[in-house]
Amino acid sequence: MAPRFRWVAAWLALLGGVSLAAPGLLSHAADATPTRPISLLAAFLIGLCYYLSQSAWVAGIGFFTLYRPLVGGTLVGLILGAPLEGAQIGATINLAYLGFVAAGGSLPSDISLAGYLGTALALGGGLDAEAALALTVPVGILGYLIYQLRMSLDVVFVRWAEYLASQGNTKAWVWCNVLAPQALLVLISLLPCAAAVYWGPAWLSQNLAQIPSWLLKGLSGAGAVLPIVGLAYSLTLLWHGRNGAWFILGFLVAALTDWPLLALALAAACIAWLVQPTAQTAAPETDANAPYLPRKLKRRDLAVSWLNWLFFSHASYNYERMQGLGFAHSMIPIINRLYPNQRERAEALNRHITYFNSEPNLGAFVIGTVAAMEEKQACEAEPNYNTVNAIKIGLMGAISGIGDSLIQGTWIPLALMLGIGLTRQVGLLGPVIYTLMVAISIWGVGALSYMAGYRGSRSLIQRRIASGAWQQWLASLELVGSVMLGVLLARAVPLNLLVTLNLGSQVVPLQGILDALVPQALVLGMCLLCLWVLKHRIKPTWVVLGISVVGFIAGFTGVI
Amino acid sequence: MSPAGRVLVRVDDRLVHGQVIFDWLRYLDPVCVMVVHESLDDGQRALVRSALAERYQLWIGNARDAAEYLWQRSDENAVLVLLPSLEELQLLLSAGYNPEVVMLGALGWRTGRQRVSAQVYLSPSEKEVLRSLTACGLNIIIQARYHDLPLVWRPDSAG
Repeated sequence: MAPRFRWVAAWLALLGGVSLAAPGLLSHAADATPTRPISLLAAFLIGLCYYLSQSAWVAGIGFFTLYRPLVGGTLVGLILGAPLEGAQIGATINLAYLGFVAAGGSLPSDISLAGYLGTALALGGGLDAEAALALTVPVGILGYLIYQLRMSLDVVFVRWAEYLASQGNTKAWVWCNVLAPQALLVLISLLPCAAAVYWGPAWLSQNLAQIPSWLLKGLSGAGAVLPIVGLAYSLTLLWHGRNGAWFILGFLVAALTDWPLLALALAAACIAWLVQPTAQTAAPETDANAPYLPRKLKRRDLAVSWLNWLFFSHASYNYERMQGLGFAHSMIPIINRLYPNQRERAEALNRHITYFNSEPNLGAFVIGTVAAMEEKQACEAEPNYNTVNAIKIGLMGAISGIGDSLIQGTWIPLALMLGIGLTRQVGLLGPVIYTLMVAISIWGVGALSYMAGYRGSRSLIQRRIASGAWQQWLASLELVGSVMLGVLLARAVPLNLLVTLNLGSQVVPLQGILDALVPQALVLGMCLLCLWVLKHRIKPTWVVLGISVVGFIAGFTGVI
Repeated sequence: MSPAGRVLVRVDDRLVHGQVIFDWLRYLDPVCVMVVHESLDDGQRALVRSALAERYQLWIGNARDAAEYLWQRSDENAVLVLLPSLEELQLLLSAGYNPEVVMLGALGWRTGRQRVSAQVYLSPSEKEVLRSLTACGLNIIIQARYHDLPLVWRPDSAG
């Protein structure tokens, strides 16, 4: 059995084992939330959104928007006629996956399926958001199977691309890099998701009354504490220097005041501005040492090249060449312009279908650089293309490291924190603001990186990056992120102890005693405990399982 | 006798990238990252430096100096050693540094290489190198990310 599926089995065994071990606690659910029937059309539309979240049609932002449960939950809510509820459920699910990072073609879980199916289970099956979140853990792991299947099957298109490259055929490239792989993705993503959404919640709503209430309470308890692991996991990346103090400060301000979330975010940004050292003087706009190049490429070629990369960089993502076919696709306008004869086109395509894998947005810099190199060589009497591949390999790793740190590791979680917090506070504005923030930044970074690569020459951009300015941006974003994590922990993870203490003639709620010390102290304590465990090299999966068991027991015994 | 502290030796043709930054730096928490790659030019060195947060020391050099550095260090801090290829690994081992385990992180497709795992592709000559290293008692594991279960590379199972 594959390691990930052992976790699914362990999860189900845990739930089943607890069910069998405590038959005396059985009683029927009495407070099920109203359910919304999911029609075949609605299931199809939700499946379509799930497909689109990983498809080639969302201008490079699908992975950062539709793939995230905050946005996915909102869409499920829209389809089922309850957008606000969908957004709130999506926000709850997304909290647990705040630290999600895809790196080097490897995912920890399919958070998109977790978001779509989890929200559908809550809205269509009558579960509360926390119980649905608990069920998304095995769903996300099962969804990873779809990703692995896609990455393996897409290798078929590499063989087709090799044939087209040998023929110098650029016209049919869209078929092997985009249309056929996307058709395959529809089959393996839309259909299973739509089927699960159509039958899963329906089965759940029909049988909800038969499910013992303690099991539902246990699931709700597990789901209530899972976001704490998600936040602690994000904190492991930020927990260095003084960020820990900023995190606790953010928590205290949010717990002790009722300042609006946006005001807190702006205050954190001002603090970052004040405390971070000023960035060094920027490098000159043009590279004085760069030789004059006769320009053969037109503005339109560069625009189409970047758009091809933006849309289709991951259209046929596969384990063998990763983004190799997408890279070649982005080079097609360049190849068509520079090389009129078929033999030269064949050679150029063969140069660019090799292995390539980088962060796609800052990585557009590599595409721009290679476009400029192709243009330069095409102008030479005796072109030498040997350096092109070396440059690609040399740049893709480090650019990927910088891009992933800045975008996936810092900017996206920060935007999500704001989006989730705003969703809790003002509703649908949260996912809308999150989507706008991500779209503008991703398109801006991509276009600027492409043109910097094309215009600036490699040495110029390397000097710019090496000037350390981006490290200061990163440090500022990390400071704001630390504050906002604290804010989110205090505001978005409500955990109330239902235990009371008998002190003589008085019955005092334990939560009241804790709140008198520091409001939400329990949540802060659990988060710091999870952080400590994660920092001691315990795998996140174990922490998720452990905290779920604690939450489950606390839920069904009525402690929380 | 072995060098002090925890040392993770990882062969990864992309050197410092997302998997290294999000997983291996996070969990190993090293003080120093060593990139054993003699032929990095100044621009590439600057990029690698920029990809790492400033709190990590960065050492870039050849295999002989790396082996010497690893033997001479006396502190207990963790070190992450990154190598771009099996050739560099062979040089490191022949320079006298003998780790118990070497991790193959990502070795991408190249002409002549065949799939060994989702992230690792090896040519017949590279498999032969690994066979000779495992015969000398070196343990080779394949692991891209921290949450992945490590696969033990064995000459018989890997072809």
